[in-house]
Amino acid sequence: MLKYILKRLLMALATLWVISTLTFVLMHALPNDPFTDPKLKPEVRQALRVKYGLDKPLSEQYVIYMKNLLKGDLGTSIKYPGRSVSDIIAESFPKSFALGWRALIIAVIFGMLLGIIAALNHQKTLDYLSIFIAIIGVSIPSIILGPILAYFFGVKLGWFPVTVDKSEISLFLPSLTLAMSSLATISRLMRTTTLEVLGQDYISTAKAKGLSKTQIVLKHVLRNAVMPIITILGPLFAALITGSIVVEKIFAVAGLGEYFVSTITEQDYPMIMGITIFYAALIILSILVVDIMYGFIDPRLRISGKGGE
Amino acid sequence: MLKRFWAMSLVLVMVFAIALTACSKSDDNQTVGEAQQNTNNEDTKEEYQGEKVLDYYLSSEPQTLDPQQMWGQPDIMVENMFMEGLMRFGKDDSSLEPGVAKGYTYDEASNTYTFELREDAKWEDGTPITADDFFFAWRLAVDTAAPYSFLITDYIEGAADYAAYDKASFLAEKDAAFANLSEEEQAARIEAMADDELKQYNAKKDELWSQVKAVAEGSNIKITLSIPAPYFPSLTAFAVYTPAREDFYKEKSAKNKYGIEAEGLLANGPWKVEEWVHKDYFKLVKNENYWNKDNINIDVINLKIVNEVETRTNLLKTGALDGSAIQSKDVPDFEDMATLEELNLQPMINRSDFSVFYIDFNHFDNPIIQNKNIRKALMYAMDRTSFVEKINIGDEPALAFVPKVFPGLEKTFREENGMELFKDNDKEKAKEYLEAGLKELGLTELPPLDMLIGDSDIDQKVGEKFQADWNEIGITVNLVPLPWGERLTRLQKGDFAMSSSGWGPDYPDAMTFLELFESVNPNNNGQYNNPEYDKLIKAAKNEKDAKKRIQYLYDAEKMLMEDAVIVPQYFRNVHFTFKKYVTGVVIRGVGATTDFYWADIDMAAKAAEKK
Repeated sequence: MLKYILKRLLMALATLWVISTLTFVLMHALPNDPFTDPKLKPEVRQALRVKYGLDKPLSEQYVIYMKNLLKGDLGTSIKYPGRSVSDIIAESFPKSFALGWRALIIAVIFGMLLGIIAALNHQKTLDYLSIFIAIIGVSIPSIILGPILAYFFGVKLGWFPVTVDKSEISLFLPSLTLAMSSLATISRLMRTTTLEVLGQDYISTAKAKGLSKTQIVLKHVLRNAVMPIITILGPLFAALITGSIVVEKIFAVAGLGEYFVSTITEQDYPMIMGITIFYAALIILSILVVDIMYGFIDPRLRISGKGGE
Repeated sequence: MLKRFWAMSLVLVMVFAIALTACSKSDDNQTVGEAQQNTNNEDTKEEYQGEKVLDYYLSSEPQTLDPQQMWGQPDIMVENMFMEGLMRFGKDDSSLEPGVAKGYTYDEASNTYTFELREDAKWEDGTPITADDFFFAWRLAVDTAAPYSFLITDYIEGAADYAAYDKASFLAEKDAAFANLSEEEQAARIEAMADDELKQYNAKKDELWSQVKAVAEGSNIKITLSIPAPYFPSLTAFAVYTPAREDFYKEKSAKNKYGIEAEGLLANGPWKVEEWVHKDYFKLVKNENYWNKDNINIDVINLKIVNEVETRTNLLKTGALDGSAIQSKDVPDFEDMATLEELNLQPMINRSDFSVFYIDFNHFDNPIIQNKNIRKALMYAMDRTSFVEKINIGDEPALAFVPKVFPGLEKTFREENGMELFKDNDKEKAKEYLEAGLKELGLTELPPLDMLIGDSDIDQKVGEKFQADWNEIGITVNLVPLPWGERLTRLQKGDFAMSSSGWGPDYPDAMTFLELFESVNPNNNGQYNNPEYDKLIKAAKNEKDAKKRIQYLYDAEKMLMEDAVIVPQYFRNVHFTFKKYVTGVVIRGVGATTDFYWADIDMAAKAAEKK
């Protein structure tokens, strides 16, 4: 197991290197530089280019960047002069994370619940109702859902603050908005796999043995139906905790999500690199964790020692 | 924590049920709210004696709060709260209020301004502000080639020479051969400067700085200008001219905190920054060491950082903000008295933000667009009046270049030089110009023209409106939407026929607009090159007599319109509204655009509304 994890970690490093190199090349292929602004006089622009080392040849910039990266130095932001990229990430990530883990819990619990209820009531009213909710969840993007929730529960009813502040309650609407599409995805997936499991021979055996419905669902169905959910949990986790530009804008969250877009339009090179590497590392890590988790949930995989079937 | 979160989730499930079944329930809620309001009113009244708290917002995270380095909003708006220069921005666009200086005198013969520093001006920690704090800050701005350092180097005598002298100049002076080296060799040589050379260089720099004509004389600062600039005192209200204390700067810079964290800010203005949570919020509190603190009413300013306009509107509606800018799309909503009454808002403030939007032309390698009659045909065919009624609601048609209400000599520039320098929507005249133009070009029909525009929905709508106007007189214009960076690159390379452009002022003088079309100006994208125009701008820059000077500027603007060098589209207006309990907020077009210096809050009324 340890050997396997080590191997995967080495591969992760290689992947990170490829991703960062690609990002470096691509972002420098964009026209202009961060100082493309008519309000900056040409002398000032030149001075800034020199200050950030952008006057050097690209290959030299790459070597400098990679050397610093190996030392764990992500550089300083260009848009926010003087502020280090790692500080910015360290400051804003917890705010996205606070929403993300809540969203994930909402999505997983309610998604699975909805899926199981639907499957157990196959082609009955409850099934259709849960399909309906799932379709709404998938088809209404957060850019629509967020403002509706904010307006209805925040402005009209006044139950929740319309932006995130220091209070716990203010995290609710954005977490829910963030969770909705994942919730829907999970519920559909859960419904399908539960139906599949319900048709298996061992369920009939269990029934024949005279187990109660609750016992069957809890002991046999759930454990087998949950595997595909765990597969998508890794990337989902990474996606949710790194924040969403839409949700963060609507609810004025000082999170990481906005940087994924704004740093590119601002051509804040060190920030683009830092954010990309951070996100990539998170995804790689969460996939790795999920792969390891497989082994604990499904003993067959533990014995064979493979990453997945 | 987790428990409460789950409780909330349960609430949500219930909420859905309620929402689906009975929406009429909300009426009951309101009455409950009102009953609570009455009971709470009395016991909260006591607290108002305490603090006056303003809840406002910033539309984005400031890039930096280092006053010397900043160059955009909202940085300048915050800076104006915690910093103060020799003078302060006044209650309107052209007036000034005393700041660290009690006032100034001007000696025309020597073109020298003398600012008298007040004795009671202090930093937030109680130490007095000295002339050296100013000089240190100005030198710092020039040394670091700060974006707005040109407000120093272009005006103070000797500052440009100081700025221009760099290590290369030093080495070239020392060794004539240096100039013959290649760029890389020069760079390497500079890199390899010996210690004693650096010492000599620094000595030379110090010597040049001592020749800069900004000197302390008793409690006065005397500044001699290199050019006549009747608006110079107002420049001293800008961020780049505010003081910085050397020991504080050095201490905080060493820790990499200066200007980027609350602890790296040293206030000398009406408020000081107590908390700065990046991208989230600011908390400013009254500066007890501010010389004019008795006239500052607001004790605490909370600034929430909110990008989204819709979110700001929500916050305004829920009473979490005491005021907000209103985007053009929502203007009709907020013009409705019933809405204002319901939200306890004052009628909207509607004013120019001093931005002008216009069409830039290629003046150097496009024979068709270089034809003045064609440009004038484009100019006269546009119907700006219906444009501001239907598309950009709330903005104003631009029939000149310098925006409305922008200060002139005694009145506004527009009042002095004519509100309209040409006629809007004169299709007949436009057709005449078109025919004349075609004749000169020897064409029977005008080939389609390309116009670069921005890539937003609004840019597209603006473009389409004028495209339709031009189409009416038989000119086909194709819109080319491009992202900002790309458009700018093409503009700067001159790779365009027509392009939509915009400009806002850097300082409160019409020169900031009119110098754009001087042939040497780096932002003269169309490369308009008219010796007559250059002559007017140069004359204005060297004229000491204010009346004669402004006359050159009037003439320059008339020439711009007469030649249709650019074609104005519209002047942008901004709209603000504040709660009825907030008074005295100043909205201006240059510098700090929203100013709470004279503002006051009726906290009893604010608390009453919140409940």
